[in-house]
Amino acid sequence: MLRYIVKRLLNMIPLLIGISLISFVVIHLAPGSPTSISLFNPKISLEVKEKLDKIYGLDKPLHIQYLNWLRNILRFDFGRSLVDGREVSSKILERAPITLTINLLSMLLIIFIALPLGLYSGLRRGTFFDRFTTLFVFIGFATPSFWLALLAMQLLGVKLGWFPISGITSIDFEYLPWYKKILDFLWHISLPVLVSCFGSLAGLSRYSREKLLDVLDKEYIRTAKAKGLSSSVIIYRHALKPVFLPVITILGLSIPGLLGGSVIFETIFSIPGMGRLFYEAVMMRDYPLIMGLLVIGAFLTLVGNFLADLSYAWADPRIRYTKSG
Amino acid sequence: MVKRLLRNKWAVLGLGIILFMSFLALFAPYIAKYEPTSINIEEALLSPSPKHLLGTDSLGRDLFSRIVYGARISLSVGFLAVGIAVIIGLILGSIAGFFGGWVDELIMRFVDIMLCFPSFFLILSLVAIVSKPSIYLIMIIIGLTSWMGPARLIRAEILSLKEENFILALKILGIPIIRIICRHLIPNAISPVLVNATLGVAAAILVESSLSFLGLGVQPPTPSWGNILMEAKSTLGVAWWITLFPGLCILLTVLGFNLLGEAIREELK
Repeated sequence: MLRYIVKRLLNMIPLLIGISLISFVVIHLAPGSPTSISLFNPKISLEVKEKLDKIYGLDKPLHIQYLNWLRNILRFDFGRSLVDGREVSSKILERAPITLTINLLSMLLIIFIALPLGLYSGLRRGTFFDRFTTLFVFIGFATPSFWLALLAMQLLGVKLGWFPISGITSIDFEYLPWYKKILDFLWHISLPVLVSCFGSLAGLSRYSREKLLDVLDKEYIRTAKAKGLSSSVIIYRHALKPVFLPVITILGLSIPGLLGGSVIFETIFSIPGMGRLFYEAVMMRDYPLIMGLLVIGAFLTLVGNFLADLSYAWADPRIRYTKSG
Repeated sequence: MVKRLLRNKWAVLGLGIILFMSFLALFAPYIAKYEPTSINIEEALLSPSPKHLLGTDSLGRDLFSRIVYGARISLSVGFLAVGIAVIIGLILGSIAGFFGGWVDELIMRFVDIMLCFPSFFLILSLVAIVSKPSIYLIMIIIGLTSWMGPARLIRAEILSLKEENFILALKILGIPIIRIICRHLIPNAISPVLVNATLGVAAAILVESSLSFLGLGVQPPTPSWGNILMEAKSTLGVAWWITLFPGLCILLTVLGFNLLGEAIREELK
């Protein structure tokens, strides 16, 4: 197992270098250097611009700039925001927990709703329930998440008034006892969590359905049936484990989608998380911040894949013996 | 295969939706009763009626006309973005698959790295560095960030095809490599890409509408389904029709492409 982990970690190094290189190139495609923004201000002379270039190291050749930047991000230093001059890393760090909480909650919801739904419709193949969920899955895939958010806001937020439609805390948050603070927070993020899990619900339930049908077709299940085992024993003891395993991978792979989705939800529901930060950075053309978020987004994706592979290998010994050799 | 597809009722439903939307897009000037951008404040926020089939928005523009013109944007972005992605994927995938060795290694590592980025993050970053997003730039950006799937598929197909006897025969005959790839390998490897491309159109339409919804895609006054929804945000709770109809159009169109794509996948099995 240890060998497998080390091998996977070593595999990540070229990917990380590639990620940093692409992020660097993308941002340097931007017309004008960051300091040329200061030229819009007529009070700043060319001399000052040159001085600024020197401070930020922009007078050096590109590959030196890249190496400097790489050295800095290894120390988690992404430079300063062009908008308010604060450190990019601390801006991201203060926003990340909210986004991660919301995404974790929607992942949990996805598992608890999609798995039973998919498995049940797989077991009841061809029935009304199965056809109904298949239809639901197709509609779920096709529903634009931001539209669903607008509808939910309109119906559950404005019309019925069940949920708040923006922000993450009430006005009197400061004065609430701690347990009410938690409830208040959960109440505020319930609409975003519900809406953001909707899209992935379709994916996972479809996947687990197909996978179950696959497994039920396997020879060892037929053997178990022939042995005369009862169908509940067959399903619980033999059929479910191979269905659950790939689900871990699917969840790991869904991280980039969830992060991308956060941009939309956090903008709609005015939630001060990483997604909204990204949106603001794009609107303000705040390149260091964009670069930092891009790298961290890719890094989180990589970590997600790694954890997924790891738990998969932990649960299924075949992986670590065949792949680590 | 077409015959078998036409017997699959889901494929027919999907195809019907796609044809209907394409019809709207192609004949928009004849179908829409009003100019999509003509403002008439006196008729602002009217609910659906025979005069304005789907009602009007806060500037009195006819929603039906705007949606019909919006179909042009969504479909053209969807098709062209996927076209770009498939072309890039074909080129890189066939090079990697045919030549193998370090070329293959390099290209496939590049694919892996591109797949690490949350694609919406990458798209937004590219939008940020172009000074003003136009509909063409949006197509190119979506194309540049979604070629990895087609590239992988083409590579896998070519890897399995290139050892076949007929390819070896062509090599021995001294046919130029480019010709072997373009005339013999790619046509035989294209079917899985077809499925991927059909589903890709749906994904591209969703991305374009999300970008336009955030104000980072197609810019008003040009109507797109996404930016109509952006403007619907300010009349939330007052005019349900502005939120409902453009969203339904996106849903239906994406559904159409997904149904067709899945049906083709089933047929290929």
